[in-house]
Amino acid sequence: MQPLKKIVEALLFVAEGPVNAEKLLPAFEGEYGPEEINEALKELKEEYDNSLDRAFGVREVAGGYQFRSRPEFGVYAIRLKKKSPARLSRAGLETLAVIAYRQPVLRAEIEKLRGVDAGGVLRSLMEKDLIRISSRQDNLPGRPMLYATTARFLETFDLPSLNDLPTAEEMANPDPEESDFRVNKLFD
Amino acid sequence: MSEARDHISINLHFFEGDTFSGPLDLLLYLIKKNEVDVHDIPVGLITEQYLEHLARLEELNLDAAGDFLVMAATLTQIKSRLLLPTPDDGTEEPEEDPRMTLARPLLEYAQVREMGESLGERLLLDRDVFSRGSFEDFDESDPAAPKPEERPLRVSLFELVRAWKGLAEKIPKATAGINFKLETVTIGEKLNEIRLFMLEKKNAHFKELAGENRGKLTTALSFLATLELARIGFLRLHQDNEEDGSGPRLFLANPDAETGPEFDYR
Repeated sequence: MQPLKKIVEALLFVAEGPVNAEKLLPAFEGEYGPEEINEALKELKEEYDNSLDRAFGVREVAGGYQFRSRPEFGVYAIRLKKKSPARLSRAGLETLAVIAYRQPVLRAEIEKLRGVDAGGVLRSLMEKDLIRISSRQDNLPGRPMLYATTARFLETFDLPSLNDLPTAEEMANPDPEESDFRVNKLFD
Repeated sequence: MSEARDHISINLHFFEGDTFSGPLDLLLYLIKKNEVDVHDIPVGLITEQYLEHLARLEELNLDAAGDFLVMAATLTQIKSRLLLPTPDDGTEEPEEDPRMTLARPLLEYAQVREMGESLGERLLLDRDVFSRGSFEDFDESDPAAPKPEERPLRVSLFELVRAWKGLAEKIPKATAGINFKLETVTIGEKLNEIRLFMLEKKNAHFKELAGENRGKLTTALSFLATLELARIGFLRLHQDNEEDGSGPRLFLANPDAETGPEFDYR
């Protein structure tokens, strides 16, 4: 039997997307439990982040862990890319922000906050798989659609979960320990 | 809430390339440029400058021009309300400053904008950081890389809807009079028709099976049948060239197949 942390490292290397203990569990056939695997993932992240001098690290995104190149090397990777990197307009970012913080949210609410039609932006965000239609507002006429963010959104924006979105206070005052501002209370 | 305006940070650089993301965006820009207080907007001055910018934006033929115009009307209305004398006989409740109808949305929008900026400053995947396997669109000169026409189609529901719209536009419109010809084809017939056609041809363009001068129902059934055949793995769909409008090319998933699945759809 190989050391747990090494196995986890190998699996993390071959994984196609972010993985967590639950996803890796079948590889151990009961040899290790989810808690131990999770511990190993955390230790690996710690090592890559702090003691190993590598050009990539382990990032916690969308409920899992993933190897990602460090930002200072992004400029080189981009040069190899044929397509220009996915660019989001300011309208796109603002719309995403409203959806991320207020989800599930109606198109009308987004348009009220931004003072501008949201149809085109919503379509383009949907095509990029950053947002989805989560449900419908049944108590409103026409049962309008409600928008929410996707796992792809968390992956793209380097977020472990929606609770890790910075709060308004954190944006203004970068000390994350200070507030336990609830995400959905931001506008109330 | 009033602290929020202290944090309104505005990039001036967008003025050169980027355009305003909406009327509130333009208003905030003007407020910042004139260094005035959101709660004490000089409506005359701001309205004048807003209209100047609007004239320039209209040249760009923005989709959102209507929203910009609504704001122009609101500004003008507030300006006229401010010009009206307020009765000062002490009996009536003082009216709320009409400019407050601007201040509140502006401050809310300023917050939205700040959140958007803060999202944009994160370590974005495929812009700042890269993960393994995210290089699918890397150098296409790689001889081992599949040629564009051999890459499987990866489409969203919206691209399908657009593809259907493109097809539907080509359906000849009924000319004068009423067309009494019934389209009697069923999805099952269409599935079998395409199956047999493909078994013989091995690969074909979608337009070959959709055919010219077919009715709406026939075209719709061809479209659905193709998707169904791809879904069950009988066909593979590829896009030759997105611009040429010929639609996807269909390949038999298993070129040695002799019959393929039987269908019993109604």
